[in-house]
Amino acid sequence: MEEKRINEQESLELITRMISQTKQESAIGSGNVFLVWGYLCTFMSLAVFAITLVTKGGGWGWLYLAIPLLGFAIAAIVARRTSKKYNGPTTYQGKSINAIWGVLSSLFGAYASICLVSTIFNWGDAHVWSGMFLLGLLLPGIGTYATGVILKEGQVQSCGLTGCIIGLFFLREFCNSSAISPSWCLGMALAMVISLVIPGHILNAKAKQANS
Amino acid sequence: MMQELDPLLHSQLRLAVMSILLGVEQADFVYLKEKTESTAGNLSVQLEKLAAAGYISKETDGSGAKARTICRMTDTGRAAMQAYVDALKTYFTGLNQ
Repeated sequence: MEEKRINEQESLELITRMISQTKQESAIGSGNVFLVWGYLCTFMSLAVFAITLVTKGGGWGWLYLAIPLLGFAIAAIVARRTSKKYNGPTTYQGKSINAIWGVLSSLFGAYASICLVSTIFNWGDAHVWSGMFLLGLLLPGIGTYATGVILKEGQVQSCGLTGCIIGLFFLREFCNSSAISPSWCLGMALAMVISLVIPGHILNAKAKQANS
Repeated sequence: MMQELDPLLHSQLRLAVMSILLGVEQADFVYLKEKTESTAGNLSVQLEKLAAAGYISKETDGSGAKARTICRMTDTGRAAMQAYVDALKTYFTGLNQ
């Protein structure tokens, strides 16, 4: 392309072509973030379930606290690799999606901080940490649904909504019995596969298709 | 009546850059170069003209070999694009009648 004058028809065609080309660039690499968190949460849930089953002892739920530590480290590495390979633009969609996940992560972090302070100052028993489990079941589904709405991806929306419904089922169970059994880890693993792993693969497949 | 088209925008490369920036929050120099299939030298000159007119803002992220030039459309640029498209429409009114 050069600096040359064009006629009105060419101008219109050029504007249309450039805008539609840019639209196809949406959310490349965002599927990887879903996959990192999705596989990590699924693996950790299955590991906690298996260890609890083998040792026949409780208290292994604390292993879940390794998820944010590992997740943020791996997600940062993946994001760095993606940005090295791809110098794409920052889209309004991408910015909105980041903002949504930022709010959800902050809510999760804020509740964890409240629990930590409660534990340190002995303001309640360890039971308050169960809320983390419920937030972990509900928030990813909400985030995935919102991502699907922004990207206009019906399949991603459906996955998010299904994840939320699974979360609601466990919320009802928790309110009914106020206890979390080891089998809930299997529910968590299922919710993570539906809320994060499947949408991650869908987003990556769509991005690959758009760029082929 | 046909309106005069903004001469700064009525150029293939500058219009392509503005059209790309219209749909994104920001884009870097390498991306714009790839999408417009232009040379670095030519693109650099045209970006400078757009920046001088206040249509885009440019900032450098990082330093040395890893430095990236990030471009964003300004409100002035957005208004200019709107005016350009409105003016362009006057050339096609009556064609469908």
